[in-house]
This record gives sequence, structure tokens and C-alpha cells, in this order.
Amino acid sequence: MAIASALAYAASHYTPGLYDSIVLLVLAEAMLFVPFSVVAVCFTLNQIEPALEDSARSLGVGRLGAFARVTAPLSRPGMAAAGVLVFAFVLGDLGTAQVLLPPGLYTLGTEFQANSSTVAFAAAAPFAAVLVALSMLAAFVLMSRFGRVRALGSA
Amino acid sequence: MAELRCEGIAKSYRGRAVLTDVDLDVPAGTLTAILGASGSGKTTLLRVIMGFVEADAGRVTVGGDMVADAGRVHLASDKRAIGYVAQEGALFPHLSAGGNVGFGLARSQRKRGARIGEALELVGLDESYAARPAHELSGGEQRRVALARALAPRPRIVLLDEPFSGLDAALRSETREAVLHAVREEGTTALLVTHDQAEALSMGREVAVLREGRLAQQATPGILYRAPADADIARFVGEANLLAGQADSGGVDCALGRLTVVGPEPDGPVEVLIRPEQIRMSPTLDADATDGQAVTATVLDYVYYGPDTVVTLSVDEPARTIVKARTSDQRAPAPGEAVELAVAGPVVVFPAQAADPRLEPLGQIGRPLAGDLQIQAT
Repeated sequence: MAIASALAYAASHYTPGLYDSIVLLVLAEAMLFVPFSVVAVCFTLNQIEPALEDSARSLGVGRLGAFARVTAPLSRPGMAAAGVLVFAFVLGDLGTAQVLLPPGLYTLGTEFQANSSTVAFAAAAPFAAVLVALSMLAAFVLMSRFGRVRALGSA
Repeated sequence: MAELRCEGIAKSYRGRAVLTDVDLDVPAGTLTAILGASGSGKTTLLRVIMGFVEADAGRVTVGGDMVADAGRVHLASDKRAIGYVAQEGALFPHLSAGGNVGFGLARSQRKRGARIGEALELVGLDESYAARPAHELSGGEQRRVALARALAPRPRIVLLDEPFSGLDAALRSETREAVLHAVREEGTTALLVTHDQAEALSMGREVAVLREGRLAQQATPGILYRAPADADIARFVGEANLLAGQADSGGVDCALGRLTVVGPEPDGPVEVLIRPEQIRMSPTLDADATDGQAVTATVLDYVYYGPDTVVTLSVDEPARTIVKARTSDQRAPAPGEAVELAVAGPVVVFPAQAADPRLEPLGQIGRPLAGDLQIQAT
């Protein structure tokens, strides 16, 4: 909420074009949740044994090649997990959306909030259902991919 | 001719010297073992040769080509054509066994797959293994695939860092044979790093003992075992009885009588090295019949290993001298039994000095040897 307000203030003063545009909302969400994805990606990178890169180098593959053929594929599950994690966070982030959402647009969260606060529970229900479904999907993807090395077969 | 030569290698971390003036020659087409306790600097030496770390001083040449000269030349690891088998194998978990083996090959060669099958066969695995995901292989198979991967691009040298650690005894000797076979078949020069003296003695054409970052001795296994450079190395490479003695020209007097000496013969107080298998036990005859000439002892204890038994003995005169004897006789003497001792073959002596605890003694008196230990005298 604080970041959103600060961004809204800054944009309205310095970059009037950005104010009331979806770009600002995306920027705000990125600022909020990039740290979480960095943590997730760092975690997977730390899981990769240094001996793997050493072995790749000993096989005549340069630093870049070792990254492309070993480090990157091995960190793919972590990247995917980070993406899903951020997706779930953004989905549930009501405050930022309420402050920065351009007029005429709505998110699942703002619409649910608007309807349920006017006791229009029947109208709010579909949004809630979609929210729950998407969160469950995110959780499922996370659990099935994270923390397990998938066999990708020979490249 | 030396395929790999290290000259004057020195490396220290935060002021602590890990390697000091190490000179190492690895003869072409043979396997040389580096034997050292943990913390002796053997892994650092390997990493210097690989180019993963830069030495503070010294040069490394491979097949006559300078690959590292501290401060001047540092060829990147991927340009050195040195194969590397990391501890536990370090297979790429996202690839199949075949993908691993082909990793270092040119794209066209990888596509054809002929060399992949060849390399797998070299380590005793058939071609069907190529499709197996790396993380589904057993520990022994992983080590083999790691070796095949290192050998596939035909490196000038292959370095093996504790390649059998974590394998159980039976699998270890099987994998050991597979490695020896593969390296010999390819004619590749190999350098094996290990802390296991039996592994070093049985696999290396030559063994280099690394102690506190210094090369203590480089010799054939037979010389290293029978004529180590000092008492410390003697203890480190196998079980050793080290007795105080008095040497003069032609022999040495110690608790086990007068013995002939081989090698350097210093005069005065010495330490006498007698390997447990040099001590022969026989039932004591009548005390009168020996005329007090024979050395008699009482059995304290014994440990049965299967092929042989190690017997702990207390020498009667001088008292409180404890020695160990190794016998392949299945009917080892029981505790309390009196036996007569004789020493087979000449012994090696070292000028007497205070015991040096620098090496972690692997086979010292009072400690059983590693399970699958089998000392080969070559």
C-alpha cells in the first residue's frame, strides 16, 4: 500500500503519462515481489554443486557453456517455482491494485472486495471461486515441480 | 617421461600454507596415486593442476606444455585437456548417462554416439546404459559413468579425486578394477587422490605421500611399504611395529633379537621397522631347549580378519614390549599361549627421534585395519 501510494504520487508529479496506466501497477507489483523470486532462484542456484561446473569445465566447456548447459537447466525448476510464487502473491495483492488500478479495469480481488463489501455475496462468489481455483493451481504446480530434479532426457 | 610435472607448487590460504614446494612427476601411461591424510593438501594440489585455483608459486606442465606458471601463465581449465572425476562422480543430474558421457564431445560426435558407447564399454557398462537418467544410477554405476565421461574426449591426463569414497567394500574393489582396466585400456595417464593406503598401494604404479602440504616420498608401492623414508611414513602406509634398537655395522639389536638391516645403516640408537607379517610365531619348545637364545612372547589378544589374523604379543624379555604379528595360519595361537618369535627378512631402521604425530596413522598398533585392506607387495 505504501509503495503503491508513493509510486502513484511520484508518477502523478513526474511522469503524468504513466499515471493511471497499467504499467505503473505492473511496476509496483514487480517491486513488491521480485525479492521473493530472487530468494527462490538463489536457493536453487545454491543447491547446484560446484563440482558440476568444475566437471563441465574439465570437459572442455567454457564458463558460458557450463552455465548454458548445466547451471541454467538445473535452475529451471527454481525459476518456474519463483514465477508461480509471484503469480500467487500478485493474485492476492488487493491493496496495490486498489490504489493503482486505472479506471475501468478491475482485478479478481478488487471486484470480489467491491461486491462483498456491498453484501452482494452472490455477485462476489464467482470471483472468489476463480481466485480459489487459481491459488490451488499455483500451489499444485509449486508442489509438483519444486524440490525435485526432473529427468529431462539427453539434450 | 613425465606426462604431468608439477614443480615447486606452493599455495596458502589466509596465511596458512596448504602446499609447500611440491614437486610431482606423473609418468606417462601409468596411474600414480597421491596418498595423504585429510587436510594434507591433496585436493588443493589437484585443483591447482586442474586450474580451478591458481598457485602462489610453481609451474605445471602437461605433456611438455606449460599450463600454469604462477603469476605468468594460467591456462583456463577447459583448455587444459585434463579429465576430472570429482568425488561421488558429480554427474549432471538433468542428463542421461549417455548425455553425461557425451558432454565433452564435439556436437557431431555426440550425435553419432559411437564414442559414447565405446566409453561406456570401457568402464564395463553396456550401451543400454546410455538412455538411463543419471540420477537413477547406483553409486558404483555413477562412478563408472563419471570416468567414462572424463575419458570420452581422450584427455591427456585424468585426475581422480577419491573416486571410491562412500562405496561399500565389495563394490569398491569392483569399481577399482573397472577403473584400472579402463585407464590401462586407453593408455591414459592417471593421477588418483586418496586417503586410503590400501587403495594407493594396490592401484598406483607409483605412490606419492603428501604430508602437511609437502611431498614426503614418491616411490613404487613396494619400496614405500618395505623401505619408507621415515618412521612416520612407515606407520602411515601400513601397520608397523617400531621398536627401539641399537645399530652397528651389519645389523641391529632390538627386542626381537639381532636382525639384518637393508638400506641405510646408521650407527647408534635407531627405530626398527618390522611389519606384522614379518614376525613368525611358532609353539615354544621346552624353555631349556632354547638355551635362552630364542625370543619368547605371550599372546595377549588377536583379531581375526578371515584371510589372516593379527595377534598382539607381549615379549617376555625385555618386558612390556608389545608387538603385532600377522599370520595367515587359520589356527592362530590363543590368548595366554606362549610362542617363539622369529623375524623373516631384513628390516629397515631410522635414526631414533621423538615420535612424530604429524600423520594420522591409519594402521597403527592397536587399531584394526580398514575392512577390505589387502596389502600387495609388488
